[in-house]
Amino acid sequence: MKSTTIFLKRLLKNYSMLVGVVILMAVLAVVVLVPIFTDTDPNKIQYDSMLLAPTSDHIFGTDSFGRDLFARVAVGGRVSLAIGLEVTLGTTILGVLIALFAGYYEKFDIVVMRVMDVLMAFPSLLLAIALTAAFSNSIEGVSIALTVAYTPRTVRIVRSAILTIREEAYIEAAKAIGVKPIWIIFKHILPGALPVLIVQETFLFAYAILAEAGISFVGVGVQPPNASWGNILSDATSLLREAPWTVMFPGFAIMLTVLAFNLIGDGLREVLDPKRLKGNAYD
Amino acid sequence: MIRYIIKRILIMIPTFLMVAILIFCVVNIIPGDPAAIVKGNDSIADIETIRARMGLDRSFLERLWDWFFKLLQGDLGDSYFLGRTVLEAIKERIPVTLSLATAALSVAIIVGIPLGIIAALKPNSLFDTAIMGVSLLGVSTPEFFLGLILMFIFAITLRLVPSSGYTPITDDFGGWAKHIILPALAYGFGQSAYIARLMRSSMLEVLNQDFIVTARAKGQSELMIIIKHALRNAFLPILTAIGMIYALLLGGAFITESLFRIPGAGNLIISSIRKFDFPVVQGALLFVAAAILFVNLIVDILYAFVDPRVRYGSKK
Repeated sequence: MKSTTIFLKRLLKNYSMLVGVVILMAVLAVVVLVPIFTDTDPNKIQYDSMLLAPTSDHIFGTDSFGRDLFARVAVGGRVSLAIGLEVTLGTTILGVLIALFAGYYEKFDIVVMRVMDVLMAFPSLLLAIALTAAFSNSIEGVSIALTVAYTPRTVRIVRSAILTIREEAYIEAAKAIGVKPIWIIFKHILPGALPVLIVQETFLFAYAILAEAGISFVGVGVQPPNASWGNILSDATSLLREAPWTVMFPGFAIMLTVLAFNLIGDGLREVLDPKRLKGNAYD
Repeated sequence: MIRYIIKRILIMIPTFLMVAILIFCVVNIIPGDPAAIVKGNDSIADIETIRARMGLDRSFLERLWDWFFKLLQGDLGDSYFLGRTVLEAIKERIPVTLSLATAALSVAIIVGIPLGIIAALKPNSLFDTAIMGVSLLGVSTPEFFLGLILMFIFAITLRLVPSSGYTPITDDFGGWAKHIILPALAYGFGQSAYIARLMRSSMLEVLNQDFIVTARAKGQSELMIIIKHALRNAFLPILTAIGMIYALLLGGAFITESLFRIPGAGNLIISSIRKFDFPVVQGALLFVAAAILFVNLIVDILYAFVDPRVRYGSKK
């Protein structure tokens, strides 16, 4: 059987992977489709329908400006997920490039790893906060800030995979027959590091969503009137006593999405890394 | 051992200095003019004079050099708006953040370690599955959402504890405990879930090793095997993880502080970023970073103490 078929079969049998995918699909359906099929304006202020509890008209209720919370959570989800995706792609591209060259060229390695150490010594969320402020608190700013803050993790993980692969006989062989370094890096070393990278970036997606929510929650990230799950929750904090539903819906949206990515990450790790599975026979 | 510690401290110094430079660079690219805030609506004041008085008319490199030079003498400068030195402003905030992070770490350890051990002793049992399921929920729930839920249940509905605020531990321990319990639970729970998962897999790995089989073959009781042989070895990776978690808790405390209105260093950083009070932001960030480096140092030393291979080997 082809290895991809085996891989897909294993994935389909993996329980946590399946649950994760189902949750993620449900979240995506709401976030992507709701703004298309409903004409509720998430920013429309209606003072005659402030703080309504969930009804058939407003299934998530309304906030202190009378805005429909369902529409806001859906649109805010687009922003939060887009930031998650941008950070995941950004850290993958940057992290892989840096790690590949650092892992292959030893002189480059010493300098790069020192810089990464400094970035790692710094609390990533605080670094992201300061950088977000430096980028004028824009949505792109949040993405760039989180990418900078989280790239060192990817570099570290991919690099350590590369250091092991570099010593393999087939790399020696490729060098010996005169294959160009750039070709060795992308054709022979990168594929070996892929499983580790895929698992890491799935978890990073979850981290990025939590981080965006956190920095928007304290008022530094995504700024109103743009909605994101973090700042909807932040607005709702003062309404906890009188309108607890304004807190529950965006909160559960974050929790479910992060849970979905964690489940998928767990599943991928089991499927992509049989060695680990063997090590923990009872796992 | 002493040689190892000295070497480890010497490595820390350049890292700290580079972190300091990084902090200055990041903070100083934040667009915002503190002088404009000082000037306010005052039409007579001249903005250039104010900028010169605040030292903002000098070039980036001059300011960096000046800050760095003073930093080496232990001077972090003056706040633009608080009317006091940065050091004074930070000094009263750091213990608050330390007490929150420590309380949250205690929650994480007290909840996480026993659960991880129990789950590992009966792998794949209903109990194990339940613990792992809850811990997965734990790592997926943002601390501020869990905090809001706890606040709703215990402060607003049941009125058992205050919903926000802070009392210093030195003033009134009971008052401190009442204020810190919800934030510590909210902030520590996610980490306890992480510790439980780690503890479980570390325990499982150890329980599969040959020396456990030998101990069983010798007829030692299961309880003795777990306490004397398994736990001791399973704790090693957890120790490093606990150090990392403490560092993480120190660096991320600002979100919990903001939700529960706790006047910690994190809250100071956020409010100072909003006001463009750069000296305070720099100083507070530096303090948090230093605290984290210090925690990492302690963990490495402890680790070398427990595992002799570290201090003799080439491994860091």
